[in-house]
Amino acid sequence: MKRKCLLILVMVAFVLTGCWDSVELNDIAIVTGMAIDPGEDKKYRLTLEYMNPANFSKTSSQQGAPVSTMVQEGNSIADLAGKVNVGASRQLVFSHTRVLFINEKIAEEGILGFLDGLERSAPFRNDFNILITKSHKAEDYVKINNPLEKVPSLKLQKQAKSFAEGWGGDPKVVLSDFIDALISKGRNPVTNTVVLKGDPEKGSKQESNMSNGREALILFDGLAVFDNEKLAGYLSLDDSRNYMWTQDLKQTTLTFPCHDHGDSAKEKQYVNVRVPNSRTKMETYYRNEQPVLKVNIYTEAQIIETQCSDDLTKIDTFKKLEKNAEKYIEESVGRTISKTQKEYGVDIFGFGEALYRQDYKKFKDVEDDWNKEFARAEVVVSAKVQIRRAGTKSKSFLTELSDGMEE
Amino acid sequence: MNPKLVEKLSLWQLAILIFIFEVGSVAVVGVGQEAKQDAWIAIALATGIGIGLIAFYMFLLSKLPGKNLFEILVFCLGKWVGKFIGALYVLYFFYIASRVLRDFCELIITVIFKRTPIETIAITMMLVIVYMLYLGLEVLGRTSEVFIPYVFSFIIFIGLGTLFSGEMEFKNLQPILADGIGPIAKAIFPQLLTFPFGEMIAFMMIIPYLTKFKKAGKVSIAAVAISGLMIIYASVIQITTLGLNMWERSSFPLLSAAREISLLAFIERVDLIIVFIVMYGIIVKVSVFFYGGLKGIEVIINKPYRTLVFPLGMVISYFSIQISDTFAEHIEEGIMVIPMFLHLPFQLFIPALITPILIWKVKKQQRRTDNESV
Repeated sequence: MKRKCLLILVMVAFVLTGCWDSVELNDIAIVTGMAIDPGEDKKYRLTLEYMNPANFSKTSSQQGAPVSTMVQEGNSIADLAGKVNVGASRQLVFSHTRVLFINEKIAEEGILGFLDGLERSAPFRNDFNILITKSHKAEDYVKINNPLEKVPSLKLQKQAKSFAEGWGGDPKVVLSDFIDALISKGRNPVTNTVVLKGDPEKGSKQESNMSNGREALILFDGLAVFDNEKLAGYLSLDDSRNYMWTQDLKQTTLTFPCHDHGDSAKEKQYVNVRVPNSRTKMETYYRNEQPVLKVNIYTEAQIIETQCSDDLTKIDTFKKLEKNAEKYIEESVGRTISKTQKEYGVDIFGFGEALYRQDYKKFKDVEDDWNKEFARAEVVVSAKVQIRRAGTKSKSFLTELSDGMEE
Repeated sequence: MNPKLVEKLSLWQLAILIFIFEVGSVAVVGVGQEAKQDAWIAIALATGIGIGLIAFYMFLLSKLPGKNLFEILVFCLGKWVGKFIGALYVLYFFYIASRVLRDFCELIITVIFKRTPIETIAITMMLVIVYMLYLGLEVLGRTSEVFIPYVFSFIIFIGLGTLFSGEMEFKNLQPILADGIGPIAKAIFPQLLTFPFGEMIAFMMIIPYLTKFKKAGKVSIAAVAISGLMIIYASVIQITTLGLNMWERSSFPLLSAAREISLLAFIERVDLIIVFIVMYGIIVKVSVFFYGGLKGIEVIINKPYRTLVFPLGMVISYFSIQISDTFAEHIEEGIMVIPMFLHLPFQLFIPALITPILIWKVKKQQRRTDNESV
């Protein structure tokens, strides 16, 4: 009996150890960013950026760059990721990838080639930003140092998050959103784009962190519009915020002229409001066989800066400013939609999906050439702005000044 | 030498077993894809039918209290035919047990242990089940009592987690009933009807051993209803979080949905708790089917099933590997062949066939005893 028990215990120890797939921590390196360029002889040129953990340790002050990169060429991304140890010493772990940079040249030819691999593989999570690079090689983007964030890709992801919260300029497109939009007949994908300003050679050196100015800096630069899997063109930074208005923009800061005087942008006087909360509803319907795209925006705002002398203690002033804000939003969002209709003719806003939900039968009829329907559709944008409060001062000193001048 | 074999279950344990049996694997692999965004309606209707089914099984059992499915078969169809059909049931139960085990192994291989051979996982998993059944049904029941709070609260947590992470898009459920009732009917019959609800036929081997058989009907109906609600809950999470298309293409949708959870930039990457839910769900499911098959053998060869637990457990883990070479084969068989040619006959036709015979024979027996007493 005792011997039997012992035997069972030994057997259990043997099968329950679970060491088959064990990997020691000092055998792995964590990949934080990937960049894909067109290869010279082969299809792709993949750059992987992975962290050097020793640099992040608090106790021992080890030297060396915080990240290291590895470049190679190959015909499929999985092949490249598997072969990476041709030069790298450790096994790479992809589950914490933060940013995927795609060279615009690759995007122009279509990015179907490697999307499936990213979606299918278990380690890749659905939380990395997809960015199209507009200048230089995508390879350079994973190397640019920054004194605040040691890892270039982490810097980019934080930048995107703060940009989305502060100004609403990042569409927060992750892999699943992109693929959803790609398959959906009522929507086409967009992603954010980045551009590199400065000298990437100098920016990749650690010494560049010693100076106060940046040798090289990565900036967001509007949206990339896709016609199915191919890059069709770009929208400007302002357009990308207008795009975000249609997609349930949550927070932004809005600057609009407080009255109609003045012609050029420089002559006008502006008022600036912070939007802490906004809601958007999209409607698509047919009026006499003419598709109508309707965007309803409900927004709350508070004034944070004014250049005008209007009295901010008066209800009428608030009313007037609200009118102006509504007009400004309606015009700018409308302009972006019509620009997309004319220049690209692809529905990046998801009006088709709105029709799918609201009038399923009609959408079934037009789904195969929805983009054509989208291009000829009439656009109606209606905004409702409520300015709630005006900061810590009631009347602006500008009001006092102008009152004095009148007397 | 052998510990005493205990084969008594309380009502609470039965309810838990039914719940985990129903929810464990179904919540994770996702069902009702034919009904598209109306899957939750299809599941709700199927739950109704499932309640009907379990009531029907309970009716059969109540005619001959204390007898299990095999003893009923022998009673109705005579010794030879009854035993032959019983043997088919044994094969059916063992086959489904190995399929369920394979489901789990595929999940583990795909998601966690990429370099471990699938055989290792099948055998280790089966060893646990063998040990549990060797000690008797009650051990299974008590283990489930220990694990149910985790299974239950984890599924609830996944829903709240995705909701508060802002990943749920309730408009993904629209348009409701876009193509009418057709796709829903297709989803219910035969898929949803047989998997998961029809599979409760295996409980016809367990329910007779309850301590309070009289209340078993109500308890199991309640358990099925709650499981139905839970499956609806899980499928709504899946559709709203992933969107229709992603949901249809995911092998393990709830796992993909759980990956979206990110609370306070702190509670993240919780997908492993899904693996835990499936793991326990699979243990219960394989155990119930395996136990059903073993009990059947017991009736056929008239020997206690215990000596057979270990060898047959190993056979099941062997078959779980052998039944299909590829994942695609495994899934396609599961959708095209199994429901029509295995589930429907064994879950519905045979029980329906023996019902009139059973009623007639029971009446005859009663009349005889009545006459004798007079």
